Amino acid sequence: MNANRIKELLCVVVLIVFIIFLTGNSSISKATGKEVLKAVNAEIKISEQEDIKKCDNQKIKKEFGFTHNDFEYITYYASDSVMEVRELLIIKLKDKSQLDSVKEAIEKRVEEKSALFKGYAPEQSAMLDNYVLEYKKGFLIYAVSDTPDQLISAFKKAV
Amino acid sequence: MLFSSATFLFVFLPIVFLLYFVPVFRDDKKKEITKKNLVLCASSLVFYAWGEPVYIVLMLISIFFNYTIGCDLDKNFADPKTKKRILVFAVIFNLGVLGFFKYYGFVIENINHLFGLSLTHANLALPVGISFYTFQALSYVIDVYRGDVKVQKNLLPFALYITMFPQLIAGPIVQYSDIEAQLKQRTISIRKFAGGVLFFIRGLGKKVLFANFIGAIYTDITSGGVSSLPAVTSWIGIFCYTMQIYFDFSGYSDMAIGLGKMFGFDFIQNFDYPYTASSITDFWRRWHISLSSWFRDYVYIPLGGNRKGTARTIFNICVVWSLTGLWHGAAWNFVAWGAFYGILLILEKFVFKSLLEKIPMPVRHVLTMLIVMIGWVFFSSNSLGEAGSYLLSMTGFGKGGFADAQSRYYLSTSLFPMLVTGLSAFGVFKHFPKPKDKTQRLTVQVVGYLVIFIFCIIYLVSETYNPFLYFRF
Repeated sequence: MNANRIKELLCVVVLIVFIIFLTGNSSISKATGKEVLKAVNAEIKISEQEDIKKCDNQKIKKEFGFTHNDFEYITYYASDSVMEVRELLIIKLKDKSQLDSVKEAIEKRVEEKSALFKGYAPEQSAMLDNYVLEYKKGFLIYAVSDTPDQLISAFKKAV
Repeated sequence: MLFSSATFLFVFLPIVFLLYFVPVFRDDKKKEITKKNLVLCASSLVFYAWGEPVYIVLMLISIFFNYTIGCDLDKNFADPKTKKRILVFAVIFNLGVLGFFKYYGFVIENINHLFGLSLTHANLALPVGISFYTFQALSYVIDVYRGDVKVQKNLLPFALYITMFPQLIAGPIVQYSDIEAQLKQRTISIRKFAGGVLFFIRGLGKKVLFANFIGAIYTDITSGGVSSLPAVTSWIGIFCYTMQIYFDFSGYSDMAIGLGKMFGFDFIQNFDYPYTASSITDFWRRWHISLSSWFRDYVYIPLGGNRKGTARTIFNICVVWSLTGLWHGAAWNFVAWGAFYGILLILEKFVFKSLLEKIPMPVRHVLTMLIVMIGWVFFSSNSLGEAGSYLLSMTGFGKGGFADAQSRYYLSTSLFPMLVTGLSAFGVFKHFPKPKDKTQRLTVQVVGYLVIFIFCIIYLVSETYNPFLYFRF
């Protein structure tokens, strides 16, 4: 067998090992968006809070600039009240190349919101400082909550 | 990393320019071009790894494999049987990788659906740009097999050909024969760099000022679901999407071509005012030219093209358009989109050819545009069912009827952006009179592009989320 043939076969072997590695550490969760929402909701009960409701696609576009078609799944819960900062956004990305720009857009929004509350609404400001922005296996969660640690752990378990 | 992101424009690109243009080997041109190739190749790998570092392994495997295949083909060039075996192996490998990462889940889900099974599959992320760089690698391997290009015995220029960041993510698909000489020697000049900057700003303007703006109207229209849209609203929506996809994709291509020019490369044009086409055949000569050329050169012509009789030509068109549809995505709406064009091209070529010639040119333009817009319904939808609902809405027989108050609202608020983007896409502005004096013309051009750039930056500072539509292919 000549040297080129050995190199070609080596590539095939490395490719197979790489695929086995990837499938073993599947980079995208098999959970659906609804399942993740259910798990997170069980922890923070956002859907049971009177002043917070599920927002439509137009609201998502207005708040974050995101188009629902860009993602496999997107859901957003927030309040109409300007003094309420608690909110929850769960996104299942179509591919990881979206992650940076999505995170950047959320971080920018938090920054702008923090600037609004800083100085006159310390409680809201403190909650915004402890915002949650986590990515795991294709899912991204953003939340401003009273219980950020429980929320993160529920999210990580669900995906 | 997106071309239209602040990180790319103000951090990545300046660093690459600095490393690329500061000469290290002033007296040795050969060494200097090697250094430039090395800088460009390394920065391209960083650019690629920015989004999904793990898939850099896949790209390196592809580079090394196809480079070795090239050497192997060259070594066995005089032995047709062995040469053919190597080519088949290379094609199976490349299409196998593409198929696994792009279509594996789709195939398994369809098998499950069809036979009531519950086979599982790993949910893997689609490696960004895989469809583009796999086609580039295949173009090299096939060209070496045919003897159309010389084998590349140096790994660095070959790696650069596959990885080059300007066109890595969303094309244009550069065929190796078009760039072979430039990998060894290319003209790098201030004039060419300035030309590249203008191309880049034009592309950025198309994306940021036109595509994002008009796309927001389409998003707004479809955000509440498509089944209850009135006919007028759905036509406004699809017109906006038609403009969005053109400015988004041709904007990216212009930016890629512009960046290429800045680094001394000349890539082929990818768009030529496609919405001015007078037939579907003409449209596909003007839209995503690099993909159409690839399928023509490596699938249609090798299958016999139109030289083997009507039945064979129809078969060849069907093959090419099924593949074109599938290339765009592992979903039935893309397959339907490909089939839609395949059928139309067959009808245009064999049934309506003489009738088309009798139709007045303005009517032909309008007809082509309407057909293209209908085609985009399949393309923009998330599923075949959604496409069907949208098409029904367009007929006026859907739940939404013909028009409502919202239709009038969209008509009044969207008319101006629709008019501006429409006229621009139809190439009306390029016929505007230009100053005859060279200095005046240059001043107008520089000021114009500067204004576009400033507006883009203002937009980018306020809006951080602006993905490209063609990234997911």
